[in-house]
Order: sequence, then structure tokens, then C-alpha cells
Amino acid sequence: MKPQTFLRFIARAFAFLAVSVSWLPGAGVDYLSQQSGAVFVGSVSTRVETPTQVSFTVNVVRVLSGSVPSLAVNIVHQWAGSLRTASAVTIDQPLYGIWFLNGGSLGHPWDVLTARPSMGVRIILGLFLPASTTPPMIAAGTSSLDNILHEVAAGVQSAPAGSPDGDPTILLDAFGSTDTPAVRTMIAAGLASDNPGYQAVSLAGGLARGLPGMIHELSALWPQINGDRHAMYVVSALRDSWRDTTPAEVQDAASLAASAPPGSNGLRAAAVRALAAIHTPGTLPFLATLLSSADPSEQERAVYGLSSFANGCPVQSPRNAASMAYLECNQPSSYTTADTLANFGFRQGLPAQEAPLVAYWQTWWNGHSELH
Amino acid sequence: MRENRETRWLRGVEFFAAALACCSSMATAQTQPVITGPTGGSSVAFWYLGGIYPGCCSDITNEYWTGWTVNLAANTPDPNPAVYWSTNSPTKIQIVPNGSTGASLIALGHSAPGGGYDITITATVDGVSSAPFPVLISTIWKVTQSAPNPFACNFVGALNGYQATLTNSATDINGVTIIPLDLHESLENTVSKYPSENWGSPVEGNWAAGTWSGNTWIDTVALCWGTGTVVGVPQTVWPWSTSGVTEINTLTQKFWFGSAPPIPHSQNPSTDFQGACPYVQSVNAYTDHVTWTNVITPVPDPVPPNKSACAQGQFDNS
Repeated sequence: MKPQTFLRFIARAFAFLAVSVSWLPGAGVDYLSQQSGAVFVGSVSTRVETPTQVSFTVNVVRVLSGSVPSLAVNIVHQWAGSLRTASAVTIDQPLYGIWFLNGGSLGHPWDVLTARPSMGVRIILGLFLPASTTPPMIAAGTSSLDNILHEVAAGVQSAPAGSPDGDPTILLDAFGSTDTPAVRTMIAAGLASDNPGYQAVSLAGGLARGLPGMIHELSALWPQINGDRHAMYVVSALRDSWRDTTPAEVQDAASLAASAPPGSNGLRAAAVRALAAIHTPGTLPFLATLLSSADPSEQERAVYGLSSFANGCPVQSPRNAASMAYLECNQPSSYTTADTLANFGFRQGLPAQEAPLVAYWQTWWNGHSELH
Repeated sequence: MRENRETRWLRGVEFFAAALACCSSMATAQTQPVITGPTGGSSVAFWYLGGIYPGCCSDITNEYWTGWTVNLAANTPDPNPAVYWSTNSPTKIQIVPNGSTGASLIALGHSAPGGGYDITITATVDGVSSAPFPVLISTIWKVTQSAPNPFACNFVGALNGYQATLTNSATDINGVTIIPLDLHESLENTVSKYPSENWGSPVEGNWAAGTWSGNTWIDTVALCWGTGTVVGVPQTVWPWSTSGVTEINTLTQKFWFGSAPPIPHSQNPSTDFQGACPYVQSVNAYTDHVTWTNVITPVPDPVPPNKSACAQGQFDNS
């Protein structure tokens, strides 16, 4: 490698280390609002699509935040569109929704952000959130962010059942990582509804935010939502985001995992992964039972949970998934020894690697009856 | 006076000799140097994304560091110690020394599948070596794709035919679900299966971190035709049915993590085939549905003289 190229290589590799950024699971209206110069309800009557861009004019109906350049905003959005035709196609189709304005500087045309990623980035529906033609009643003093969330909820609820605008997944998109009074109100309302889709996305939202009682709700609602396609959001929220260390919640999760039949649409595996990620003392009796599981992946999770507890490792969560800081086991633990450190396990190895680890942690567990 | 000077000189020689003996004694009993992570940790972990350094996502998230630093406690009184670094995995990690206080680590490859830390680095200070220091270099390892969610062509502007979305998620080498990161797809080797078919392949997509839905990215496949578009040959139909046997065409799809190059980026080797590639499959379009077959995930490292299944020109379909 030439010195100059090498220096550039080093510079590129480390330039980003100085950038201070936040973590966010996907993009909700909080992120979109921050990135957008204006959020507004608007209508579109016609658009021109090509495989690489879509252009249209949005007629502004009401502004929710920021300021719009005019009441008719011309938009050009680059994309990998769904149409495969080489020529431009004019599509006369009325659209109505919430748009997040972007760009428009230094001679660049105005653009809009992808607001509905659950519909993908290839079709027009991905570019706006549904809105009701009748503005929702919103209490005075409501924050701008909650105002937008109420608008989205009204749009979803007013859409015909089964239509793309009526898909409750839109609420999860809109929530992002936001945790405001409006979000909590919507989660509570969804859990109380009799619609399995709403129940599922509300449960997923509640699990991701660690709201109290969510595992109990999950146990009660699972028979209803298990067959709904939105159930996958519940499973992923439990597996990847729910990290409530409250002893009662942990106990409920252990009971849920123990009672979930094999398979169970991924529910048991999700609960096992969550409990291993938490690895508080309350998780250990259940995790120890997995050391003798017939499923090697459950054995591996048991090793990870027990060894993370003994070695003082932090809870594994979305916040430290990319940094892998959950492997920095520097929290005080009276159980840490040279042996426990040497037998720390955090990913599945070959059977020949796993067997000694399982045996070690089984012996370790048997020798610590105070934790049983 | 003379005696005194001689005495002083002799005392000086004695002192110097004693000091030499002392330092020599210290060198032989030098404490082992110790490597630690930036916060004092006993290991470090970072990413390999196929040589991509994702300065992409500062607006949403970027903790996918592909470089890291370690500190070194040289544990020597030598003000200019000779420090040498070594590793058991020179093809996976590059060590850039930072004087006698530490080093920068750069990922050249990823850890092997299996348990625990497989990469170690060692510092040797004036001939005394540290204990091997564990390093894990993760990568985007495995993609999980949902069953298709089919729907009509209502919002594509061509009402005939079908479309479907697929929900994708990925895990790293530790089995942990990854949070949003820029990615793109490459589409290669479109092979016609129907005489005079005119569908071809779609424009290659990208998914910036800000366009993920939670920890998933949504792919859409659409074969829609109607007003203003060329009539598809053969014509596609709705509803979605997996009973159809009339195949239109097939292609190879690969996902690449670490960048979302501007569209169009098709077949540009400087952008299209760059990043971490954990997923390859054949996408097979029929008149009433699509199948996704020959899935490879994780993608094994290349075994010479074979290329990785992700390399440009390596096809999964025929």
C-alpha cells in the first residue's frame, strides 16, 4: 500500500470516530420531523414515474410544523421505482396524506422523506403517512410531535379496512423510538381493541418501550394475535428490544418461555434470547434449565446468560448491539474468577467447543445453590 | 583536593555502575506489558463490512466502527522502549502502533464462525510480551427473509399484475439482530424464461438507515402493467397464486451492507459490489407469483480458486 493511500485509508477509517450520533431503530416521526423543514397534510392528483424518480406537486392543506415554500410544492424524489418501463408514465391517482419536506436548497428541487418504510421504498405509498380529511380534535398544548402522531392515528383509523392506509403497521413506523403521552395513549387503546393487528403492533410498541405489564399482556393476547401477520412484530420486539429487568416481569417472561410450545411462531426463542440478554439473578434458574436443552441454540443462550451474569456483563440491548459494548464485562461481580472469564461464551461454536462450556456452567450452577 | 576529586570520581563510577546494575536488574524483572480496551476492558470488538467504512449514517446511527483503539501499559522505565505488535490473524487485522501508549486496529476481515474470541494481538516491549489480547471482528452474517406479502398493483399506476413485499432482517456473527445500517442490492444475470418477454429486471434498490422499518428493511417486487406502460409480455395477473407454472425470467439478487449508493448504481463495480454481503438468492418471476430460491446465507468465505458467491459475476440462478 502506498504511504499516501495508506494515510487516506487511516483517515477514512477513523474520521467517523469523531462524529457524535444517536441510536434509533428505524425512523419515526420524531426523526422525520428533525430531518424535515416542514411537515404538512397535502394532496396530490397526478404524478410522473420513471424507474429512477417520481415527480409530483403537493397541494398543501394544513401545515403541522415548519413552513412550506408555497401552497403548491413541486417534488422530485429519486428512487428505484417498481415500474420497469423505460419511459415516463403519468399516473392520475389522488393521494392524500402527511408529507415530510426535505431538500430544496442550493438549486436542488424539493424532495420528501420516506415516511412509511413498512411499504418499502419503491412505491408512492412509502412517501407519505395517511391523514384524515377531517383534522383530529387535539387538546391545546399538545406538542408538535404528538400533534403529528394524532394526525397519523386519525388517518389510519379513517382508512377503509384492508386498505394500505389502514394497516396498523403504519403506527409502528410513526412511533419509531418516540415515547410521548400520545404514543402511550395509542398503545393502550390498541391493546384494548378487538383487532389482532392493532393488538399486535401495540404490544410490540409497549414491549420496545419496556412498559410495565407487557409480558402479562403478551401471554393473554398471544392466542388471538398468533395467527395475524403482525405477530412477527411482537416476536421481534420481545427478542430484540424488551429488556425489562424487573423481577416480576422477568418471572413472567420465564413462565411464558417455559409454557410456549416448540416453534410457537418464534415466541419461545424470542423469550429465551431476551432473558439471556437480561441475565439478572431472576433469569438464572430458567436459563440453567436450558443447559440440558435438546436445542443447541438454547444451550448456547444459557451459557451466554450465565457467563454474562458471573462476569459482570451489561444487558445486551439495541443500544449496544452495534457497539458490541455488551461484551465489555466491566461491572462489579463477586462471581467473576479467572475460570468464569475463560469460559465466557457469547456465540455458538462447534459442538466440540460448546460441550465443555455447557459442562463448566452446569457445574458452576450446581455449585451456587444460593442463586437457585 | 586531588584525593577528593579521585574519591568523587570513584564514587561516581560506583554510582553509575550501581545504576546500571539496577536498570539491568529492572529489565530482567520488567513487569509484563498490558493491553486494554479504550475503557479499560479486557477485550475489544468491532466490525468488518467488506472494506466499507460507513461514514454514511451520521444523521441516524453509525456505531458500526470498522476501526478501534487499544491502550498499552508498557510497564517499563525505559523512556524509549522498543514496542512491537503482532497478531495471530494478520489477514484480518491491521495494527497501527501509536508510540508506546497503544495502537489503532483496522479490520481487514471478520472473525471466523464459532465460539469466543478467535483473534488476538500481542505487544512486546523491550523483549517482554503481553498476554494475548482478545479481539472479535463481527460482520453482517445472516439475513432472514419473510414470506411474501402479496397485494394488487393499486399504487403503482398500472393496475394489472401483482406485487409483493418481503420483510428482511439480519443478525451479526454473534446472532444479535442488527440495527439500521445503509445497504443496497445488486441484481445480475437476468435470464429470460419466456420467448420475447419484455419485463427485464428492476432498478437496483438501496435502503438508507433512515428508511428502515424498525430493525427491518422492506423489499418490493412488482410486475405491474396497464395505463401508460408497455403491455407486459407475458401478461401478469392478479390474484397471487403459487400454482402458476409460466416462468418469465430469473435473476441473482445480493444484499450489500455498509453503503446505499445513489440510484442508479447498477453494475458499477466501485459501488455495486462493495460492502458486507451475507445473502444471495435467485428471484424467479412467474405470471402470477415470484419464488425466491437457492438462498445462501451466511455466505461462506471464498475458498481459492473459487470466488465468494457474492463476487461480481458469480450467479445463483440459471
